[in-house]
Amino acid sequence: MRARASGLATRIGPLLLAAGAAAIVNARAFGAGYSLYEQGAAALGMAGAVTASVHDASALFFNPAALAQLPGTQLMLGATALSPVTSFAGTNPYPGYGVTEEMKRESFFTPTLYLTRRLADRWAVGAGLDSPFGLGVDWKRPDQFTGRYVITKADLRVLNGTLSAACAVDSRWGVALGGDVLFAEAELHNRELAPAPGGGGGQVDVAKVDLTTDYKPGYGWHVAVRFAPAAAWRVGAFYRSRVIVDADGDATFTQIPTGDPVFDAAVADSLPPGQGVSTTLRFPAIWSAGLAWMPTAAWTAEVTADFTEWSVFSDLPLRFDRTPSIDRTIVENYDDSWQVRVGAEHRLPAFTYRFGYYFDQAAAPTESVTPLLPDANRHGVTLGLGLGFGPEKRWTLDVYELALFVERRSTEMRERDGFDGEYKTYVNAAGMSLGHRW
Amino acid sequence: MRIRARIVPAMALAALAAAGCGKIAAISQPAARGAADFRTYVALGTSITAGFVSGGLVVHLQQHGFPDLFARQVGMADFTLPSISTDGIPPLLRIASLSPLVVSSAGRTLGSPTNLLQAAPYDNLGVPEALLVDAADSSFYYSNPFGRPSTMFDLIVRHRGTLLAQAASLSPTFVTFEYGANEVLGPATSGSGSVTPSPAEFAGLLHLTLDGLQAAAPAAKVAIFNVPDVTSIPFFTTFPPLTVSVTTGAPVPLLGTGGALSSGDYVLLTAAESLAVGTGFAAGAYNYVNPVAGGNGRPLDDDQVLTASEAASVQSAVEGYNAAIAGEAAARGFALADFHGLLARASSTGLRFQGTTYTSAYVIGGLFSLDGVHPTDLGYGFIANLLIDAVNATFHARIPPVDLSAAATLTSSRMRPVGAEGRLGPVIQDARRIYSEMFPMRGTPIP
Repeated sequence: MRARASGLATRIGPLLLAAGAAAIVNARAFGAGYSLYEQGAAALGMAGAVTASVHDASALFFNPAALAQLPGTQLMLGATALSPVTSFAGTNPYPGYGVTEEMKRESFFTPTLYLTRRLADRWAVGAGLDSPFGLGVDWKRPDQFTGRYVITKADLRVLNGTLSAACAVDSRWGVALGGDVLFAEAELHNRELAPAPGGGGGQVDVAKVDLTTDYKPGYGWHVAVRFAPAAAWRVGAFYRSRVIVDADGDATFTQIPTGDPVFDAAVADSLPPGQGVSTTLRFPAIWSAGLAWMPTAAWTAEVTADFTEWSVFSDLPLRFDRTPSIDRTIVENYDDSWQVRVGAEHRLPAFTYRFGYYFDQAAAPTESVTPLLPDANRHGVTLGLGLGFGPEKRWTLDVYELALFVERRSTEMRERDGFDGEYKTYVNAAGMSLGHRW
Repeated sequence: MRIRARIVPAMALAALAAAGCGKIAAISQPAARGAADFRTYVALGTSITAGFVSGGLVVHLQQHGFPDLFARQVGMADFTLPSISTDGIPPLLRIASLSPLVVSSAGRTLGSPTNLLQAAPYDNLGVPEALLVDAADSSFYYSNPFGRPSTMFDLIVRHRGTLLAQAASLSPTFVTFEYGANEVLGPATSGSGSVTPSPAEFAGLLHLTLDGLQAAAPAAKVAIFNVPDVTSIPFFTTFPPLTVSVTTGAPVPLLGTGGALSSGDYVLLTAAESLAVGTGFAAGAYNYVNPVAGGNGRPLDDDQVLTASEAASVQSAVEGYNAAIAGEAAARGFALADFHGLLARASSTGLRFQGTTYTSAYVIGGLFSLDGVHPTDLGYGFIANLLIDAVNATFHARIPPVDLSAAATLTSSRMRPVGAEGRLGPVIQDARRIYSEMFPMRGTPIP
């Protein structure tokens, strides 16, 4: 994987280096499904409730129509460190009551880079790099993990390049249109098990299966609008289209000796050769609408509703070049889902503080609550702080803290791979953005 | 006050976060609940109820049988069964060689009962070879009218009265009732379609037997199993009736006493040793058991083949039996465990567990033990969960399903592979004797 990541860096390296961006790393999914909303510290301080009120360069993600209201040229670099804790408790019929499992505790980073420029009184453009989707799963003790036949480790790495043009139609209306190029790669690792011949149905590990795809692009577009019906009110909305990425890569099958030479020989005969594999990665369209209220010059409060078309994630097909008989389709059948976000910002002379809450509805049906993606309803509580400094406060530093409480979710003995139990996840996220305005 | 107003929410958030950070606690198995009373569970039935595996009874596998699993799930800790020591009665089959696949009980020691003197009747009163008629009538336990040995009755019934009487003496609150399979397995495994009793006779006998059960144990709730299509199990499906010409690759039928077999005929596992020496294969036909032996042109014996018409007769009897069982279950408010449906799924789509589709294939399918008739430990786990589903649905109970990972074992057959000898197998040594004892062909109509 590192080799491929380096390859990508070589291709897009000049752009990244010119912008001073950090390395691209994977991040676990912390929105419903595998979405990541953590794309700006000031916005996340308000729980992401900024579709109508965003006022920094992260507008490229939250509402590009706001670009026309941003003065001058603005650069924003940011990152979020995500520290999830996911564990699982089994039930019958498999893996059984009393069984507990845990994912490795790691921290992940989502970097963002946004650059905007006001071209004239009415026009503005912006370009950015972010990672609006991602998935990282790595279960402890992969050789003993009871769900290893489903997954031991999975990664979905996404890098999205976005370009927008915005126009202030008049003093009240702003619109934007843009395009996205989303690069994605995926990794899936699991174990193949087989019943021991003549045994009581018990299984033994016979092979490791590793599927990796290279970064491949997919294309999308977005449109946004912003409206100021009155001095104290803002309305914003945007639509970001779905992106489909046709990815291909390599599949390797590594035999695990069982110690029985005859059985091992039979397994070796049936094991597919290393070969190419292809899949289709689907990223959903997102609708967002927000209403912001500014009762005084110092306060902004907003409520935002997002609608994500997760039904696009119907399955994950795996097609093998040389052994089509092992083709498989991981059925997901996700449902469209809603997120509701509320947040507020209080601007004081010395600093700004923010707070917010959001509810993120699970997209996975019960059958798809798997060790690959144990989706569940989420409740996020955020606190944020912003500082302006330097001449004319052209520099801004924003930080936020997110406590994401993921509801416990049971598979209700309906998980499609027969891996039943309850998942518990908690995520702590802390992020910062550094901005400069010329 | 203002500082406190800001600190308190932050502390509350920190406390929530700390609580969220903790690893999930293990979930304990919930107690069974519902309208049925599971304090005293008694199992009545055949070898399936007895926990028969790979041609024999042995305690470490009996404890993986569906009655024992069910008893554990309903919280009955003192469920008793007729415990048989290593290596079982009869001695269990094992894989003597994986390549070639040779299955044998040779060299194993005959087990012995370890609790034969238990004062009370066993809670598991499943008797291998038992027929429905045996449930309420002890006339045939020890007199051998059907050509069956009395060993299992001696071990389990112990000359202490009928099975129903022994069950009633335990004052059961819950009973599982599983009969009918041996009536069809006897003729089918002997290559005959002559099933007795007829479905009408079976229905009448079943009605009387269940009347007797309910009279003897009026407080007991009952779950009843129907009868599987026995022609779907590995004993019948392992050897195809067709092979190919060594020279042309064209399909070539195997040979029976009536001439060339048809695609609907079944070559039985008992034919293994004959096939291995070329019997049943025409000259020039590929011998899929032992390619070196080729074909000698001699036909398989009649008892090594179940013809399509004989199979249809067996299946018709199974349908008739099941109609009677379903009717009685509905009329009496019993839970009906659809064993027939479970094995139909096993032989068509397979059963999923731990990412693997388990099938009815012999040895490698994972559901059937080495005798090709009785389930593996995992197979019994599936049957237990089938029973639990039926009981939960009928009696509005909440019995947790069986942990299949605990049910599935690696070593039930004590696989002992040895070097290759060129045969593809499978060959079950001394198969005719083993199966004739397991499922005696009942030439005498059941009274």
